[in-house]
Amino acid sequence: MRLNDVKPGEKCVIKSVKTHNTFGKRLCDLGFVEGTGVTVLAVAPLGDPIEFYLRGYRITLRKNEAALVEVVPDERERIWKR
Amino acid sequence: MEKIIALVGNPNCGKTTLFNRLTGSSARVGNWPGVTIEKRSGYYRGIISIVDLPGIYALSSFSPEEKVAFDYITAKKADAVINIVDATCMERSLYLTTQLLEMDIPVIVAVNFMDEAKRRGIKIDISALAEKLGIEVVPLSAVKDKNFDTLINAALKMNKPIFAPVRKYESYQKSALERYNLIEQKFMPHIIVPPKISVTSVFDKIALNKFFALPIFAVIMLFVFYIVFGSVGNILKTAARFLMSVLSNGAENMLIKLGLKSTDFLYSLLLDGVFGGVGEVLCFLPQILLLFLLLSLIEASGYMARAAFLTDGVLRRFSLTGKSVVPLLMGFGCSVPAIMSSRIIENPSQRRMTALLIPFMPCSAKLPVFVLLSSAVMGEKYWLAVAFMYLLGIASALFTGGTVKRTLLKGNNSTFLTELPDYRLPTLRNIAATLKEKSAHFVSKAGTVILLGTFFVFVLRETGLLNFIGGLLSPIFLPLGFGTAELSVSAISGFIAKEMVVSTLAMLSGDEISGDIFTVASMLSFLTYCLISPPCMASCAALIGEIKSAKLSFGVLIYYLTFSWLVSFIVYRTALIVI
Ligand SMILES: Nc1nc2c(ncn2[C@@H]2O[C@H](COP(=O)(O)OP(=O)(O)OP(=O)(O)O)[C@@H](O)[C@H]2O)c(=O)[nH]1
Ligand SMILES: [Mg+2]
Repeated sequence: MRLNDVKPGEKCVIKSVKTHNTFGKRLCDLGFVEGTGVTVLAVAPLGDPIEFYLRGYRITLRKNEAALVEVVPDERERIWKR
Repeated sequence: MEKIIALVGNPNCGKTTLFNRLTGSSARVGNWPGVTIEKRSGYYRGIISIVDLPGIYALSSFSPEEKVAFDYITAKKADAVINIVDATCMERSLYLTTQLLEMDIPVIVAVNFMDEAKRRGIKIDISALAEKLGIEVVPLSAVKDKNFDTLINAALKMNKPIFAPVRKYESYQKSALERYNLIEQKFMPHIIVPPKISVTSVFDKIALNKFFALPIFAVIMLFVFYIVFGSVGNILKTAARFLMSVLSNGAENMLIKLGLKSTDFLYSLLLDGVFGGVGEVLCFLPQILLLFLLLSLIEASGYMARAAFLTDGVLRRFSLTGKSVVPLLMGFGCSVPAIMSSRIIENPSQRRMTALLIPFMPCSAKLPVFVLLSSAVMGEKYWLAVAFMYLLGIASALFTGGTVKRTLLKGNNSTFLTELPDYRLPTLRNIAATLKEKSAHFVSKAGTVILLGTFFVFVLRETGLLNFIGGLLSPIFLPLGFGTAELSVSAISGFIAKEMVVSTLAMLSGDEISGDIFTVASMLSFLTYCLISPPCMASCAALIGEIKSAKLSFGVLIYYLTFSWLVSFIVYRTALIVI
């Protein structure tokens, strides 16, 4: 599953990020790394970009950018304790 | 030797706010990431040099403004670095901190937004954090604190950190993971964040709502327009007018007492040129300040980043990105800073495109032209013409962007990575600083460029050269409905500064600009020409500086010239038929 497939309001956990371009590296720097929990908050009126919540802050990405992030549905509640 | 302290941190963490407090400057502050685009320095207590830098997330460069910061840090010009971190977002902030610790420079951490953290119940164990990081950590509220001596002294006393570098791997991802793991395990235990009930603020539930978001954006824009050109703006304008007429009458009486006659050179220079021309422009100061006030409220509240988020889907079709909204909205104020702020856009072709479209925005210098001429011709209903100009400016920008997209810039991929900051109340200090800076800029512009320009046109008139130049130009403008010598020269004078159109016209037509020189159609065409003809000198310079290509600059100039002529022609002809 990719991050852009996750529905608003749902949570997921990052498995890996494609870092073949600088953008992927940028995502890693921003905390998109293995094991990080991400919530999808909102989608812009035209369906793109998407707003995410991770590590205590909110960030927006376009669909094709979110597609660089491989995720699995959230099963580990502990991430949300923070 | 003087000491240099650099302020380094993530975008929007309050670096410039602190810089302003330390140095007494009034550099631009706004509640969205990417406000600062250039390095700026000032002095703390007159002896220690403080350097403010654009925000960065990590020590790897990305957009041009981030490269400025990256280069400055890696060149090691600073004696010490104050790494500002956001107390409400420690985990991500500390990522950069750990990278800075690996560099061979003295660094201390200032935990900013302590007031905000307290309000939210976030508890940070400062001394434990300092111990784990091995450097000095100082709590801070750049907005509320009164004394910054502790911070500066700590920075000056700091030695180079001793920090075991985080293990690096072949894979970038793995290295980043290692760093975040370290932050989670070593530092985060000293920071207690209460469990959030909801991460989305109430405002965002409405402002980013699927159905209401775009209508709300439109309503906000209409509201700004209504305040500036309707109710409040009108009162301010009338008051300024009154004041100016009192001054002008006083000056007239004085000149007569001094024995000057209305045919004397000096008499007409002062009354027609200075009071009639420059004074006419100055009357708009209150209204322009009102516009800047509203724009700065949008910037300070945090709505700017939302506007970018919402419009990205639309603007992408016009070879722009949602981030273009920021420079474009700033363009309603003044093109020069707006053009420079296009640097927040990472993709080079979109960055250029945004910069090139900014001159189509109805900037505050065009406002006097619109208001004055449309009310002379249309009276009470003038705002219809002004509204038309605003829409036309936006439409011209989108049209140009759309055309270029379909021809030159096919299929380019860009990114849209923006942080959505928390909503904040604008601070009085920032608003006051903005207004002060804008009025100083406006008044000094009126007193220099516009005054000189007006003198120049005055001399042209007195020597009869004006009719000659006007005669040469008028055939060009005849098809647009304003082919007289005066109007042609006025239209061209906008290149010096857009306000010049008003001061030139006011001077050339005696004291009051009367509606007789125009029909509705020719007035609309004249305003259209002012709106999209080549921008003023200052914005041209900014534009050339930003696009960095002589060939492209020349091409763009030609485009502005022909496009403005064509659009004015279409507006004129259509208006003749319709009205
Ligand atoms: N409540 C509170 N607000 C703050 C504090 N420091 C800064 N702000 C606000 O945070 C926002 C961002 O401040 P800036 O100084 O522009 O941030 P910056 O780090 O220079 O941002 P960039 O130039 O975009 O990298 C502004 O709205 C400030 O008023 C603080 O200590 N407390
Ligand atoms: Mg700044």
